Amino acid sequence: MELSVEIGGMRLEHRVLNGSGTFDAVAARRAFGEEMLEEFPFSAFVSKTITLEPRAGNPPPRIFETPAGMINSIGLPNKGLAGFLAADLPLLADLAVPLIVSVMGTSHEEFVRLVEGVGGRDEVAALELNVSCPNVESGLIVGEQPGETLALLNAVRPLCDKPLIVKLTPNVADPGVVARAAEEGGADAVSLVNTLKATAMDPATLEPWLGAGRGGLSGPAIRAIALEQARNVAEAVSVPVIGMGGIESGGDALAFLAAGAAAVAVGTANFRDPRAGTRIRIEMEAELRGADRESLDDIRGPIPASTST
Amino acid sequence: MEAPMACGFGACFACAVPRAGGGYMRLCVDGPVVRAEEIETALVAGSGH
Repeated sequence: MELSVEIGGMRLEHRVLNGSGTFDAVAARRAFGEEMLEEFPFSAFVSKTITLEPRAGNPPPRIFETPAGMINSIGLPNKGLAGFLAADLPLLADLAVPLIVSVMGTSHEEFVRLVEGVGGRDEVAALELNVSCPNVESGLIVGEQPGETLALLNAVRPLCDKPLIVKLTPNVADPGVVARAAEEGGADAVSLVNTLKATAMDPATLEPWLGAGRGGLSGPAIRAIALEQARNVAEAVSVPVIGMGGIESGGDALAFLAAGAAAVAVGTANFRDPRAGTRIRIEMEAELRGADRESLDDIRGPIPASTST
Repeated sequence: MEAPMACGFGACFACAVPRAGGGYMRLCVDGPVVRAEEIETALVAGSGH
């Protein structure tokens, strides 16, 4: 079955990617062997977010289990740009699928240096801009503000001829408005959702459970919200949408595609099963065949917008 | 040692415990048995901080 798709000029063999930070190709190879690379679960590998300088991450505890989901506040631990280019990129060059590198800066200057540093490497197929963080210059979360998002794209778009994907936050009233700003700034695609802001209290102390105090919710608990947001954004922009949020089955993935996403990403499900991406792709194909649909084009198309909420 | 763990193979960085001298180690790939002097026990969650 034809499941390939083109995103910003990047050809993907099928529709299932990983969410940034939820799968590590190098660690998976180390833990599960070469078979993990030969039968890579995703049609592209999205790296964990890298920042300009190394980060240790947040104090533990970093996760909390909820009904049908989890809250995390990992804090983007990473080796920094130089460490990533020297230590990780050579290992990721062995991947048979395109490499999408996620980057996050706290200023335009940092984003510029990251985009130039990563974007110039042949091993990198595309970049994902993680904008769910404050801009230290304005104090505003970039991805919560269309103006900030547009200004960031204006700063980095001219520096990079590779596809730029903007990872949208769900913590806004209308993600479609931010998505339109990203598109106006020249983004080749948008991906959503990142985690929803969340809190857990330690039942024994009634103090915040997470070391960082707050975190983000993911998993099936957020799927219906993510599906609506992906649908909203797909209606708002003409660039491809990569939809994610609690996808655990082929049916879940098809729902996002039916809502207008060009591809989907699997996140939290990878923690329970690092081969979840493979299973979800196979389930998608089986469901399409069972419904006598020869291609995904059958299920895509404008979905009438509801006039009430 | 134990820590809440999501992936168990080094991908998620959830099971971090503080290293003596700064930074964190992942219990799933760097532990679960660790030398006491290599961790900052006073900062380990549940140790009474």
